[in-house]
Amino acid sequence: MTDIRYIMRSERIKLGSVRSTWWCLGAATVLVPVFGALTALSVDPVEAAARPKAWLVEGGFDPLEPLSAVLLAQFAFGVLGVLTVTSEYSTGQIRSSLLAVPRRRLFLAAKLATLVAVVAAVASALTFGTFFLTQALYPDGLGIGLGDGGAWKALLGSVAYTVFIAVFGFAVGAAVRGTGAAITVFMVVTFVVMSALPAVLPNVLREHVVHYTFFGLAESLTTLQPDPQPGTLVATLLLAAYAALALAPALLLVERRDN
Amino acid sequence: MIEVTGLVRRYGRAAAVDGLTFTVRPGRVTGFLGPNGAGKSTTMRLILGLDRAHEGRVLIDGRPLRDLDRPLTRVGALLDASAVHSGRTARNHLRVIAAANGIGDRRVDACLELAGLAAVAGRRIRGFSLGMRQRLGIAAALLGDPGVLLFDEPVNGLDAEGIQWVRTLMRDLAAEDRTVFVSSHLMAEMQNTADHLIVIGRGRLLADAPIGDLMATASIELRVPETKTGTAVGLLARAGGDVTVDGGGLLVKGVDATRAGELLLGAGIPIVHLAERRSSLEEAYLDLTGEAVEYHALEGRS
Repeated sequence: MTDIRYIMRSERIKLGSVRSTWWCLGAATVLVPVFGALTALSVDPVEAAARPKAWLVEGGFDPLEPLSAVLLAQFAFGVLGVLTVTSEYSTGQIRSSLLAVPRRRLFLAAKLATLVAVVAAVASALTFGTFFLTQALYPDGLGIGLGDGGAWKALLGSVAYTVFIAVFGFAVGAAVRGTGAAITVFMVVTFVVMSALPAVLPNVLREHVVHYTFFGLAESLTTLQPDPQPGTLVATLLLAAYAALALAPALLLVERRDN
Repeated sequence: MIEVTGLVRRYGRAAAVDGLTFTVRPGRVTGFLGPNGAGKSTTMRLILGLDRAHEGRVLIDGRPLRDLDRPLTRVGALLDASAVHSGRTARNHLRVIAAANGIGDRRVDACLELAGLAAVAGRRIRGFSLGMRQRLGIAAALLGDPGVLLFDEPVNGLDAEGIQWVRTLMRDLAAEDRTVFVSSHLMAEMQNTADHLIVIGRGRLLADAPIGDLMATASIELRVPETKTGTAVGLLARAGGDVTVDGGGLLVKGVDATRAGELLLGAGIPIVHLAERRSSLEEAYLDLTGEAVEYHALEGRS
């Protein structure tokens, strides 16, 4: 069996040597700090200073508001996840790849691990960079440090959610294999089923469902509010469960399919 | 060495590969011949584990491909020139493949040089001609310096100089005691390069023999006085010959010239003309595959 580090090195070169990677990561890198900065600059300093902080009171002033730009950029990471796999199948590259790595689950695992590492690194730089940028842009006294109100936990949650979205895109891509179909499925699930749909459910149902959608879990992981629903641990486990569920079809099918 | 045993692959109810068993040995070029749709490419994909076999197994140097450490160092393949992401440069395409098996960039550059692509190494594959892509595919097959090489229609899209290059390359690889397995539907190409032929039709093995033997499935031309023709035909047929009356002469298969001469002289039939006719590979091939061709032209039948 071939050393997984070799395969991951190959996957790293693959990511770096096609334009689509730079388009996806470039879009996020521009979008997040710019939207974050605009949000921070639009705060009314007098009104904001008068309110208690968000971690003290529900509905208080939230200095992490500009970080919601990270959630805005999730489509870019999701599409990157999709393309990581579908570009193999749609181009025929897969046949070259599988000659070097005939064990297909090992191949997918190395590919996924590389994607996770790259997205975690980029998302960390973006999230923490935007945090420091926006806190510095706030008028005096409004900006917070990493330790205030558990901000560091919310930032890590934001990184974790971004990684999740990339993994979800990867899983859809690996199951569907065609770029167009995979991006459609990814978009429909993420932006319709997991965000817009609960809004049209009857109130009774919505209460139960809304916290457990992708967006609900992202909220829980990234908020400064006290006692989010569900808690950090449960939200993390649920995201992991969603990821595992999404990856299952690809892992079950990959050894049976022709290429 | 490639050992294929009882390989079966079905698509729906039809078997594209129907119980193939053969061995491809090192030190010679083995041609893989068959009409379109005979299952050559499918067989190659099954050998390389890209398609799943329904039955049978394939061993590369005695082991299943999946069990090989760094497989590219044991087996290299040119399947089709489209197995690339055309947005990458030629060099990056090879780097991607090489890195997965721990092969360094120096070897990548050596293979680009060998394939005559050094000058275009930094160009995106999108702009490559079919011939250039074919050369890139061959460079990829050579990356791991493997002992077993498979080429599916390697001269597709190549110009005369390219064809000569591939021919020499395959001869050289075989001379280095490697296993070289080349598919083609161009019989003339095989005649010039292959030492040994494996011929299939409709997914079944038709022949597995040295190229000389196949060409020697010779027939003999025979002419006897017209009055003796009937007697001669009966005599030869009883001896196991397959006799065709062709104008005034006879065309006999399955009985060699010496034996035919003995039979006729023994029966007191004078021989006007007796000659061996070595068929060209093309004729031998058509003989073999005639019944196995999947799609006869309708006009040809009427």
